Amino acid sequence: MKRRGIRSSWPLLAAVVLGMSLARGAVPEICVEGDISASRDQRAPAAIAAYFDSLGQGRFDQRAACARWAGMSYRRGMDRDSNAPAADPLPARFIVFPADGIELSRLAKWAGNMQLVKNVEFARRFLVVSFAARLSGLRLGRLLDSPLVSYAEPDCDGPDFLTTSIELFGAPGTTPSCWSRSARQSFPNDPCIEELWGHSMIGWDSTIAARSLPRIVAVLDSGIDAFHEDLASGVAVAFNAHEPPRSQGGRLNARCATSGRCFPHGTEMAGTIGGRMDNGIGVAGVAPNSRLLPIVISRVDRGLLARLSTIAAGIDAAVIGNADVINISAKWPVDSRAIAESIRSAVGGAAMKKRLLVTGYATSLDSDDTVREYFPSRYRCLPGVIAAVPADMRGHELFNPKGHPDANDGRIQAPGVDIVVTTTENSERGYALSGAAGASSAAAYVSGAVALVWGSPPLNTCDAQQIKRLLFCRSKSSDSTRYPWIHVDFLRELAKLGPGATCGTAMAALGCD
Amino acid sequence: MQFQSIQFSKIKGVAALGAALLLGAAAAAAAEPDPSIAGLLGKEITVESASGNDLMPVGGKLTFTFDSETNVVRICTRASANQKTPWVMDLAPGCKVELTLTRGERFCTIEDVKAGNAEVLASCHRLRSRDVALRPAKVKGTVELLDVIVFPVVTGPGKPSAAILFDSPSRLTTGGSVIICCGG
Repeated sequence: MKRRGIRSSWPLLAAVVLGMSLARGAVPEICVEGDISASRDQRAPAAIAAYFDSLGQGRFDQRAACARWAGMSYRRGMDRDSNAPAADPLPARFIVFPADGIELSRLAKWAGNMQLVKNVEFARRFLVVSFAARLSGLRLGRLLDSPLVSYAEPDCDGPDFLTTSIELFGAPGTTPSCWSRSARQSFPNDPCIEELWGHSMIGWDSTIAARSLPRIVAVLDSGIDAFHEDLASGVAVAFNAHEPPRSQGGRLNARCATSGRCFPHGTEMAGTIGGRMDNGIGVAGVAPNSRLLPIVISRVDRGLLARLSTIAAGIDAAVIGNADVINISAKWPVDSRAIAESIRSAVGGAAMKKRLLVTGYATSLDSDDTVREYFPSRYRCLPGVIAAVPADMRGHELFNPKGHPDANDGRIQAPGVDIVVTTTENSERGYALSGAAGASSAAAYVSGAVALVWGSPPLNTCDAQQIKRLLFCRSKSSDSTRYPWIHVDFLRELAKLGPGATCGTAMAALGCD
Repeated sequence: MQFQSIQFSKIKGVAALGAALLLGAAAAAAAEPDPSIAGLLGKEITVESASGNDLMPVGGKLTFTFDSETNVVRICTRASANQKTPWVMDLAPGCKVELTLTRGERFCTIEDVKAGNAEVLASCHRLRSRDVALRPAKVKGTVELLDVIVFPVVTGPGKPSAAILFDSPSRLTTGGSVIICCGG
């Protein structure tokens, strides 16, 4: 059968796919199909195909394409006074997937032979191809119209992290100065332990936390300060993410993974997840014995995310590192196939029993005042994904729900306001704390809870889905919030189990079999 | 600008006059500030804290004023001796930023705004402005335009406060941040 050219087929394709997208309410591919390979006939994101169609002989602009894909008005990126394009169009950089049966090396050779291709980077499943500047949409479309290519999407930069952190304690008298106190006389002796209102709210018990076995938590973020006193012993400093040294991920990891010289967000999340307990200083994490894998997916300035391809590579690295939990306290607006494939590999299919991906329930009020949910939160359709909803519950009561909340919804409420966190900034005496809020912190709380529960024998013999079911089954309710609240006080009941108890007997004893 | 000339019969003219009066009355009624924001108007607020960076200067003074002619609220800023950084761009001293009201079901708390769950924020009274210039964009010679959402919050009797969220719809490519400031 004669193959239709990608460029000429895009107008029709765009209309069809756009219609499908609208009909589905823009549900992520991976949620609709269960297997994204089912939509192989789609050769680009619908919005990108439509952008190509609108360009004709006009120059392709990576910035405009990414904004269009994200459903954002590119006018905002223009000069406000003249309404003219802000600058020269950014040259195209695409994530390119090979057609079935085509090896990446062959695809790379094809790309490398084109004069208009300036750079080719290898990833596990795709190439990142950077094109020459001033390329018309028509020409670029023709280049991507190769039978060697099955799918192409722009390799956009992601947006920022989901935190409202740093200096929230700026009002006089509210600065978290507990770091300067001497160690407490009782266990645990961390002087800031009483400031951690979220620990109390989720039924955290320091004795149980002390006994928990280590679980590996990959923190996909801006790196973790491995010199921080509350984190030093928990960070896997020798972890090799196996990202090519010249790739963006390789460079970011080399610079930021453990140095503490980069944006502090990752260090903040790490402290909530796995800050050391009973070390006489600072805070304690929810799962203080956990092993933290720092994987950098952030550019250092302003905490912006790196490229979509770098995020995908980071998820792959977490799998290589045998992470039990992948914490992504970040958000981006597009349904990237590169990232979806990585997530499917990490927590889909058989892997759904191996690990859980925890992220924040990231939302914003869109321009028309509708609520917009971002990625990867929108992948909570997958059994392996949990989205943590940030909330402040001080002064409110939690109680047992009438029934078991639905784990398939994937949303669970967690502390997300005024969280005292470890940080790399404002360092005094070599130790630093800050305040954080938002879905980032809620995700860190849930990641810590997953690691704690999964590390508490005999629940360490459970699979990831059993742990997820347990967390929802034993969650709490409140009158003032919509979703179930994560709560781990049931871990105390494990003491009643006899020796030789298994995951199954524990689940039954906890009423969640 | 072109002007339209409208001619009408006497009866139609009476009807039109009546309609115009009704419209005028409606416009006059619309010029009263909504009770959800009345407590915030005309009282000077000090920026007590801000997260993220220095878009909103701690120590700076601002007042929300109601413009009855256009039925919008303006943010009026002034420099203060205790201000850590200057007001910048559209928030430079003056009343450049206009906000329009979306009436919700309740007042948000500062904690609601810090948490940032839009499902919760959507139920709150809020003022919003789009395309506010507050800092240079990463592209040379341009500015980044932000959405500004002001949530009147209740912190105590007679103490007007607001949590202000700065959001950048264009952050996919130009970066952005969420800022909160509170005052009273």
